[in-house]
Amino acid sequence: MDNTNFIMIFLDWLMSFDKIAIILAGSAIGAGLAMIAGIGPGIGQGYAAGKAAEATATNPDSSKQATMVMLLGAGIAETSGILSLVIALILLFGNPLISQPGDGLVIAVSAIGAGLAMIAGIGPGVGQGYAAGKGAEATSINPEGSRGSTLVMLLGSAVAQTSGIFSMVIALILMYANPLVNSHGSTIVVAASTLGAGIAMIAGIGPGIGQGYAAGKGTEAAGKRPKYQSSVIKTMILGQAVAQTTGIYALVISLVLMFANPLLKLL
Amino acid sequence: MEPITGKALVLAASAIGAGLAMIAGIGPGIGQGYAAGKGAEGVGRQPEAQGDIIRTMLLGAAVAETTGIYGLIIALILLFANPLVKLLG
Repeated sequence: MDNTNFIMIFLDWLMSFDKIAIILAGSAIGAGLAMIAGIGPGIGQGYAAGKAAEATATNPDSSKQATMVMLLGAGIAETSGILSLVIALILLFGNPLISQPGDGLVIAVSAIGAGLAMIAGIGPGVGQGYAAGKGAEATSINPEGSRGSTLVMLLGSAVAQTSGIFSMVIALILMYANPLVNSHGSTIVVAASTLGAGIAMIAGIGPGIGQGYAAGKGTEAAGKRPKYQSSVIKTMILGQAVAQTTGIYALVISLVLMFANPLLKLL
Repeated sequence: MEPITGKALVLAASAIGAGLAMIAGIGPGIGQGYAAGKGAEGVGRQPEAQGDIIRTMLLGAAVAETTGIYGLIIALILLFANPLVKLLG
């Protein structure tokens, strides 16, 4: 090894292993990366728990009802954590990458990319947890309007899940059908493109948090003024749609990197 | 230094993965801390409802703990029951 380029030395060293060892190593790192998404539900559900405790103090008579709304919202906020857990468990126990033909390095990086993509789950977790807290608060302030405010919470939380689903789709494509694995370009470019496709999806944190905030504020407004529920929902959805844009940009870049990579043609 | 085998590479990566998984702990920590703060605030405002407030807070905090436990499970699997090493054949 007389090459002094660090990356070349590293890649030479890495490629000296069996293909399967490289893939399994990548899968281990990917499984760990995916679990980082757990930050989101943790923060969000903790906020919801706090708001429910506060709601109990504000209006002890409606404590049960507020707690139910909190648990309903916290259940939704758990989604991204579960999705990440599923990806990690697939990588550990039902790894589809092992049997794939193609370049070992690219396949290993696919596992790491899938894990990175799942980190986006932080966003929906935080956002939906905020909405759950606001739902509990709205119920304690106006128990009669609880049905309406909870409906807005559920609707807004569903929208906030979008980026988490996008990430899941990209992670599954990377694991089961990464088109780059059979690409004939330079290995380093193909591997980096795969990694980039996963990293791009982390952007989903933003839309998730933002849309969840909108859902929470919508819930609050619907609880205070049930009369205006339909205008509140309209405004909330409109704003959430705008908040989704950067998540869609990330999805587009990720798909371009995988399916219509312009970099490979430049070589 | 002895040569690194494929098994060693997988084990090294498993160690990194186990560490990465634990980063998830950021979330429950922040969230449960917020819950504790709000619970304290609630008890201050309405001391007679202390029992109810603490119950609600603990219930919610337990839910917030789940993702931290998921991370822990994945890390423990990587460390003590690593399914990847067995796949090396």
